[in-house]
Amino acid sequence: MGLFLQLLTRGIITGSLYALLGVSWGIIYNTTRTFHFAHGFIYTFASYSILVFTWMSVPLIPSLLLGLFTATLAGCAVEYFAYLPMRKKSASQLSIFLTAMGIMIAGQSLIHLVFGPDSRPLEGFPEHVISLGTVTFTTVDLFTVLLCWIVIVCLFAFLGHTKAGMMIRAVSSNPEKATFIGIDSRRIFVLVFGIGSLLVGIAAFLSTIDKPATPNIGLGALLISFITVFLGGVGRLGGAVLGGIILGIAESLVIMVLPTEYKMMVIFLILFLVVLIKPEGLLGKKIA
Amino acid sequence: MLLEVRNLDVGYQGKQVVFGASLRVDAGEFVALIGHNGAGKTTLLKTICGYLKTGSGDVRYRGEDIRNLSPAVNVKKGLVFVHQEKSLFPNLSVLENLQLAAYAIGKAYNLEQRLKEVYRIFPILKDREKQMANTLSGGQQKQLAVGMAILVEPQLLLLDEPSLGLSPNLVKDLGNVLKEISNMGTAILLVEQNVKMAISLAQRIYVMRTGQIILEDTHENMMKRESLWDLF
Amino acid sequence: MKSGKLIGLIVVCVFMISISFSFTADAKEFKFGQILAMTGSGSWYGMTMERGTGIAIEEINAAGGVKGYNFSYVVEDHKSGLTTPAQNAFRKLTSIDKVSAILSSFSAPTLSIMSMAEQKKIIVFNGGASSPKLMNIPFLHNTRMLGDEILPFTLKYLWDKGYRTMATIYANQTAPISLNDAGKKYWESLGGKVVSEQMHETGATDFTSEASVIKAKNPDIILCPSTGLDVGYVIKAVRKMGIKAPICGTEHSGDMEKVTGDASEGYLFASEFFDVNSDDPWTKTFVAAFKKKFNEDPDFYAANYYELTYILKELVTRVVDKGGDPYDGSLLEKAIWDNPKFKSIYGGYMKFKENGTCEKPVVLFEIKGGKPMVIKKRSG
Ligand SMILES: Nc1ncnc2c1ncn2[C@@H]1O[C@H](COP(=O)(O)OP(=O)(O)OP(=O)(O)O)[C@@H](O)[C@H]1O
Ligand SMILES: [Mg+2]
Repeated sequence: MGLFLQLLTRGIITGSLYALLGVSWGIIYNTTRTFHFAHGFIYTFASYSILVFTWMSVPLIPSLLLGLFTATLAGCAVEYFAYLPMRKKSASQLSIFLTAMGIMIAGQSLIHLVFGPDSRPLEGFPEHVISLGTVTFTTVDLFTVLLCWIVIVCLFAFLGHTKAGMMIRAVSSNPEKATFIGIDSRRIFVLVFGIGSLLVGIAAFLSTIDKPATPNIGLGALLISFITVFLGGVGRLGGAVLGGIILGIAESLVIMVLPTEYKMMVIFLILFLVVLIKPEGLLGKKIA
Repeated sequence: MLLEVRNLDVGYQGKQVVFGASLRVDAGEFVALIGHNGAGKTTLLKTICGYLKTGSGDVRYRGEDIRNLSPAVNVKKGLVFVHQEKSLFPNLSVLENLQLAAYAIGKAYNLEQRLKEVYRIFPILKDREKQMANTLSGGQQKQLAVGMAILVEPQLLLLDEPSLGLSPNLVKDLGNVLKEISNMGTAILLVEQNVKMAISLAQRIYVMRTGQIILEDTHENMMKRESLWDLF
Repeated sequence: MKSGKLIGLIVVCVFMISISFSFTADAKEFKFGQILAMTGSGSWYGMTMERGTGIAIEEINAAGGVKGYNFSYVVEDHKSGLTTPAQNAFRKLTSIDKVSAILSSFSAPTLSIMSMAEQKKIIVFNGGASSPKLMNIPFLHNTRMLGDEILPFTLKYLWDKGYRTMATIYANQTAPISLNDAGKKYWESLGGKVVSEQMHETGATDFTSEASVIKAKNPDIILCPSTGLDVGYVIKAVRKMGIKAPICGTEHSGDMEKVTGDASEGYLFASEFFDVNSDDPWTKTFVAAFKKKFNEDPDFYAANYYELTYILKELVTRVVDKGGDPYDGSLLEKAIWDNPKFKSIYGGYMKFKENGTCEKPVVLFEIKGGKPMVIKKRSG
């Protein structure tokens, strides 16, 4: 029982981060239907941006804010300078996907080239062990869970209660109609890429205060991002949150039955089963 | 003249669908465009409002060439198009759908007052304000779509088959509403399959067949015809 | 004019004869080969190894050579681990330079020449690579120790401190798996109990689930024979879960603390260790000579190749004493087993083993203040 509670706690911590990753990619995919493979690069980029500012002896919090800002700009730039021109030329989904993959690989190599393969820790966040009965976690874990949920709640509030949020939902729910009532979907796209990149930057920050950054941290984050979205259901951001939590907890509890080597296999198995039984995802609506 | 279309050719991927169509709508006028399935009516409307850019010909709105303008720009100029189907945001509430229509225009509206006006015309929408648009009945969805359009006080309303899927009673109600909108000074270009309704409402009628406009006549003349079947 | 030319010719002839005399007079030469990484990404290894050999040869020749032989070497390049250049180098060294002994480096190039070496009876030494694949190959001797031979030293230390139960966690790769087996067997042979064994994916970074399981088993110590940063992530997760048990492993990568922060305090691992500050007299002279020549401390690669050159010197001595020809590699090979114990530059002695490895002085490190500190030594 102690082990179960402990693993469940770990699952919730991981799941919270996965949920944040999920909404960061989901908001982009749901709105623009772009398979934003380069999201993984933005993740790595955010992590290194924050690090670079701390190396210039900027304190942690301002470094975080500056890093998030540059990551947001980078996300917008990818949309504006890469995807948008392609969409204008009505390029196929596949060629946009390939471009995104190119950006991901090139960006990762560039970071590798500039900073080398070394692990780069982000220091300065106080880490202490907290024990509640049989359950143990750290201050970093606690902070991660809190920040993830604050950010997710803020995101949903923004989408639900602001003009811009409403327009984003409109574009994602009926893009053609959105154009006809005069919403400039290009702007909304850029906005959405900015928001998604900001969110993934926060996730990158949370993961870097826990584990050092390397040039290839982005791929794993990307995988989790879109798996949670497809698991939870395309078109419903709440689905990504649910998908993230389920994935985190499943990943953590797997060890009770299987060696952790099979963690990734279990994740894909879950995704496979869900897609098989309910192709539109857990919360997704049947596509008419 | 509010809208003037001359010699419009439109096609999809090289296959021409509309051939040399010409029509006009005067300010405040109620015009109908009728024709069988696949005649090219929707294509024509989508071209007018700036959504389709293929093909050639002239589209002038208030004397200005709008062939290269986007629907978003045209909406701000008071040229509003209402889809045949999928004409609202299914995952948003009724109120949000209406608000969006106003926000997107970006003009300083007295939103409260406009909402009141829409709710006066479609009282049911007020009751369903908080409901998701995709949970409305077919008739209610049509009302919402038209409500969204008139909320922004358009000068020219392009309506694509608003009666589609409505029961005869509802069609009658809708007809009355359109009449009322027209009476308030909004010009309407109504595309319809429901010929009777279109002819009874419109001041002038165009008939379209396989991509061409084959007839233009007044309300009075059309009413006098014994049969319309020869037109199809 | 004519007589002038003739005088010139005579002078040249006399000079040449005198030179050739001076060579044949007092010096036979013992020439051996080296196949190192002289170019490419590993060229730093080649450089430091050659420096070690070079200093040894200078010393040996300055002391009058070995039994009438002057020492020299020919170095060839395997381009940082390529097999074809290594094989070409081998052919050149054996057919043109006619060497009977080769100092090699890197696993792949070394392995690629071994079948030819056995055929031609050339003795090969490796002081750089530590792959277990290099074990049990005829004519190949490694002067690096393998992890599963070092591990018992660490475990014995913990056993003596009174710890009895152990949890292990190791990567799904050949070396960690065999190390885990070795560690488990040794621990059980002492009478200890292994309460949990977990294999993990190489390169994983989140080990909190594994750590949760370890925590539930509440072991006295934790063994993590994984490599690279995996160890760091394991340590981090274990400490994160509030587990206080000592953690030991088989290696410490220099950048591990970037992952663990101060969580790595107390981490234990044993290793062959070349201590530049050792008070062993031989070590002292070597370090001083190296420092004088290159203005920096030698690393263990330089030390290993320095040591290997002296091992060759000893072997040549043994062969010549028995009236043999040191250019016969099989005699060199045999000479090892006359007495497999050789003086070690690490201090004390090292011992060659039948399986191609060796026993060397081993030290136990503990991370203190973010740095490995020697807490216990064992001589070869
Ligand atoms: N996106 C498209 N790509 C290719 N062909 C199209 C496209 N949209 C319409 N068409 C074709 O153009 C022709 C005219 O279609 P359109 O929708 O304009 O007809 P319509 O008069 O509105 O018909 P209905 O009364 O059924 O709505 C049809 O043959 C249709 O198949
Ligand atoms: Mg149509």
